[in-house]
Amino acid sequence: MFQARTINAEHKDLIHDVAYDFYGRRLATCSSDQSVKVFDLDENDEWRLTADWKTHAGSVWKVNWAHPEFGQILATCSFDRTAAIWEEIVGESGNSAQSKNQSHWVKRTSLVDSRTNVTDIKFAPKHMGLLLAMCSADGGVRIYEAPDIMNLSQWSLQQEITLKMPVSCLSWNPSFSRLHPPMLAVGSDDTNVASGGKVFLFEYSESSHRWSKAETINTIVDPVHDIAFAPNLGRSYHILGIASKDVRIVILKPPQKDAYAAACPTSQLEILQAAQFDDHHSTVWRISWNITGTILASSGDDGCLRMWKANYLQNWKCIAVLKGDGSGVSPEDGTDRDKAVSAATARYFKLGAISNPNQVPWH
Amino acid sequence: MAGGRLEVFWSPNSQDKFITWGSDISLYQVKNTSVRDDISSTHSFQISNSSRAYQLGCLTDVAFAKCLAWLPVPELEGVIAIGQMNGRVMLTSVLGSGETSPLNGKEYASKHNRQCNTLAWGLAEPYVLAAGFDKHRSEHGLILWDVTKGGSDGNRPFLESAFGDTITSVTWFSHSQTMAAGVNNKQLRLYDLRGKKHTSSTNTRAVFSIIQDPFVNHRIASYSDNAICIWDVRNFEKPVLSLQQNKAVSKISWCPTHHSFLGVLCKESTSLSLYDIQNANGVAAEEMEPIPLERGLILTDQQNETISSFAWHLNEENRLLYSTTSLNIREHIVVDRITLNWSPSSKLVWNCGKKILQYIDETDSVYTRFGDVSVTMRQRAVEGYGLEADFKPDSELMQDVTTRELWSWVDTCRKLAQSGNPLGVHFMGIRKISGLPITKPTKLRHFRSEERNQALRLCGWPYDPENSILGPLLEKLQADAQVSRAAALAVFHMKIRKAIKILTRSGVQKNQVSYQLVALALAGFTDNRDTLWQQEICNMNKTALDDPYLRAAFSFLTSPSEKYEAVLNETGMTVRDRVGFACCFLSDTHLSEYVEHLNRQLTREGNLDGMLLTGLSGEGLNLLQSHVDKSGDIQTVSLLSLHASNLEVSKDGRMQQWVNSYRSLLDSWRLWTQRAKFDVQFYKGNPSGAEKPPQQVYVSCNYCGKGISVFSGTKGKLPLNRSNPNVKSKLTGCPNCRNPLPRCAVCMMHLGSPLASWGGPTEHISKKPSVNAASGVSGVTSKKTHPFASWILWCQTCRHGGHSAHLLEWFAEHSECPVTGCSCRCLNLDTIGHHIPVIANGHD
Repeated sequence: MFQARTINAEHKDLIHDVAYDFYGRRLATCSSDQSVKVFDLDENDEWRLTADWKTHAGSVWKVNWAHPEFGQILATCSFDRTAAIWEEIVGESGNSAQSKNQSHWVKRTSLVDSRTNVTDIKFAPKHMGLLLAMCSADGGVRIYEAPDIMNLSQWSLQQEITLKMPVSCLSWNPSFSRLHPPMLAVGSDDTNVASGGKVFLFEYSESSHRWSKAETINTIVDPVHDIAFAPNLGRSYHILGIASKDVRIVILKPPQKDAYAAACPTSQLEILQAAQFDDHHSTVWRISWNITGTILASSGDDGCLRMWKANYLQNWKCIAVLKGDGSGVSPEDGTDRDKAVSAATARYFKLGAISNPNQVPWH
Repeated sequence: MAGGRLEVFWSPNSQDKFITWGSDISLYQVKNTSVRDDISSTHSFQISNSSRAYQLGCLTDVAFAKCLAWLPVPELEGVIAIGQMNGRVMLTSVLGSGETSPLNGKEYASKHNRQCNTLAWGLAEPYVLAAGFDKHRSEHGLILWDVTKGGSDGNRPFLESAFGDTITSVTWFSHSQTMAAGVNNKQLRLYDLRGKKHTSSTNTRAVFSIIQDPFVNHRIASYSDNAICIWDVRNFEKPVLSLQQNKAVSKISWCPTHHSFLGVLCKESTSLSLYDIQNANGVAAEEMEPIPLERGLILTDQQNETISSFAWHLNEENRLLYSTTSLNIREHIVVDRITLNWSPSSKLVWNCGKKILQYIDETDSVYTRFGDVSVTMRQRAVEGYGLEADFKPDSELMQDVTTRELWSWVDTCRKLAQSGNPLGVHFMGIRKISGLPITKPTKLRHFRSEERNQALRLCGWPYDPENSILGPLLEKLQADAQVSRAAALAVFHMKIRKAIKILTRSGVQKNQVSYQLVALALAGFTDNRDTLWQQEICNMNKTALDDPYLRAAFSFLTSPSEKYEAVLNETGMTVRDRVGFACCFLSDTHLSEYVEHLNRQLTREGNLDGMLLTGLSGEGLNLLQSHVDKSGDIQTVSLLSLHASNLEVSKDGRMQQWVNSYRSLLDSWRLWTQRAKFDVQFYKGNPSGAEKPPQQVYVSCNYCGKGISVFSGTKGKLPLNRSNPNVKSKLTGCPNCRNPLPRCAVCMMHLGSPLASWGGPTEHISKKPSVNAASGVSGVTSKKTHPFASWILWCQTCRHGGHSAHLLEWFAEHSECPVTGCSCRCLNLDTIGHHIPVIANGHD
């Protein structure tokens, strides 16, 4: 039986987010215990806790690393209505051994413009500069910029967008391409199905220096809990993963070939739904893409992680199921794959069923 | 409570016991079982895959029971209080006579016959029992007894309150003598035992199942029909939170192991709702309303089996027991919300509860089965894919069909380029060989023209009329163990005798009978279509043969002129051979049709073999884009750009995007050496130079201020970031003013002096590889001959510096600058400096 490897995080309450840095050598976690912890991979490839500090006065929802070009910077957001920018300060005292083991993080600024629960915060892709977006339960999406990257205490509010429903998550389009304007996707966890589409796409206009709503994905009306653009990696289209009551994969096709020459930034995106999976049979909480955007991992209330991959014909399929405790993986090889996955799903949910009459309680 | 309903309660006293309350009250003990077939023992049942409940005791006389409460005293295992319809409250042990206790068999009663609605044992004083009764005009609704009191007046109430009121539910507050109660279906009241009257109250219909949050002393929850209210007793006016449900609520319970976590069960439901109630503390808390995060926990998947009750385990995190309408009792561990993330190096991490993170990476069996392009690309990059001049025939790349064909095409083009052929220089595709003139078939059904010969060159086929290179080509193919391909090529050139030789020879060598049989069949070849050979043997062979090349060879021999579909559509043959074949045997119109058709198909599929047709042109980019879209393999297309750098296509936005994406990928994998090599090759081939990064660092003399690099200023073309390595052995002073360079902070020698003249420390370095390995610079300092060792290095902050080998050695053990009095933490200032580059074999 397969067993995943473990890191002892030892948070005092539920962990809400884990984030790798650009190189995958550092790991930050945040939790309802209001603290953030940073783990570093040492020479022996072991994860070692190097920092642990209280960050907010409420559950910390998300933690996010800036590109290392800007230094070692973390952004956190919390139920306490604030977001904060943290910078690592290399050892100020003590000998070398100590300073290597423990690092010190200082709060460079608090972003207090939100009047409610700040649900997500993400740094923009590096080529856009030191820019970050945060969103909050009052429907606010705010984009901040550090005009001077050497001064992390100065952040100017570049733009504030207000949606008519609470915003739960956001994702920057990581594409390097200059052929399409920068893009930002936000999702809402509004439970009212009647209020329409819950995923919004914003585009930046170079000419007006403003972000404006480009599209609403109207096919998704259930509350959205997580949203993630796949790393673009030179594809001619963008892939957006959405965690709602099921896993959705949406393909955004920029206007076709001739537009490469025309480079017309206002032309319409083509939105195609590539996949929809309800294998979790319950709310899907988080999703994440691998570095090439070829595998999507999702986690749901069934306590399982599922991984999805497209074949050469762009048919997405479940390729693995892992239990949350890292113990079990559904057996699968080759052609039996789909069958095995559904069997594993059924097995998990039949916990309550009793097939053997001897198991019925005695009366 | 009899009938379909089954209640469950975990013991407050021990970890592994629970009671069920249905038509009887039974006490069970939970034991872990690894063996599932342990069904022989009576009075036990499986509650999860790994645990089983064994019955310890049973009370059958419970027909009048209305409510019960388990005495939370560890010394007494099974004493419960049962409130009855007739107003009597009995203390009894579920173990029956098995447990002897002075409390066992005690009985308290209301003076009048009225229903007992609720019972609750004190938290601060566990022997105080509170009971709530239905309304009676001459009696109190809330009665408290001290069960330790003996004697004649032992049954007299310890305290009475709520005269003439109905009490539907009560709860104690921990560590204090206060309690809350639901009164008359319209009020919640707080009682302090030190006074007779209630201290505060609020009007609400939510009077049922009032419970106190075990983590937040001032917080209680209660419900009415289909709404749950959360109250802060310090501000009792209105609920802090109201949770509406679609169905009538039947049970609510705070999780005793998880902060602010409320389990809610609705009637006729197959799932539990779990509310994680978010609070802030500190200054913000006053203004902030708590927010509930709702989760659904599906416990049964059959419509006719709904959950009748549930209970949280008191100590074990997130463990709960539930009963269903089919009288099944099962255990469930609530999995916390899982968050997950993926690292650039393919590590997938997720949380398991509060304490543990789990991860898998590409070394795990689960992962390798994915066969993901990210792992393949990284592995190839580490091995120096595309950066080596020649392609190793035994490498993994050459096993991969798509990349093999692509790179052999590139190889062919480069060879042609060396001979000055414009086809190779510009990586032109066959479609670009324009204006095929009318050509007439020669005697062997062959078509010949200069253009066709050019195309054949690209296919690697013999192109001269005498087929002079056919022989060596066949030899080479045989040496590469591509026997069938060699035989087929021979057949296509009507060298049947040669083909037979090839087949028999390898058949004998490798003892493969099949080849010999095929050779035998081939020997009977005749061009006459009416013969038995043409009609029967070949058709038989065609279907029986597994090898695409042999199949194609037979198809060729039996096809009438110009009808080569069977050969041309033989997908087992490489595109190169199919196109080569088409160039030989198809007439002009058919040839261009075929090439067009094949090109469209390959472009749609994103098949890199199609590069042979399109070449590195705009059309080729479309094909490459299609390949990237389908496979995500940005590596191959980026490496192809190294060869296209002087072509028009390199200015295409797509190509630049691929290259940038790939460079960023290499950066994030810490394959900086490979990235640098890629950059060097990329800019080397690019004559325009406009996009070449400018020199960013100039080294100038401290005295005269002129550049000490011999090259700086004169050419300014070397893309160097530090100093020029060529200076190292020639220069110890400024070439301009003759003043010496600064000294190395460690060895105190002038910079520029070669390290070899100064033996001590290098000896020292090589003796201590462990230290160097720890500082992550092993690849550099352990080799004293490494050219980097004597490079000049300095800190941009304190401006101190020295020989790189000495400094790296210094910082392996120190964090401060080697210069006396300077407390600059030079190495730590560069945060990326902590990251060790991935060093592959042969890439140090």
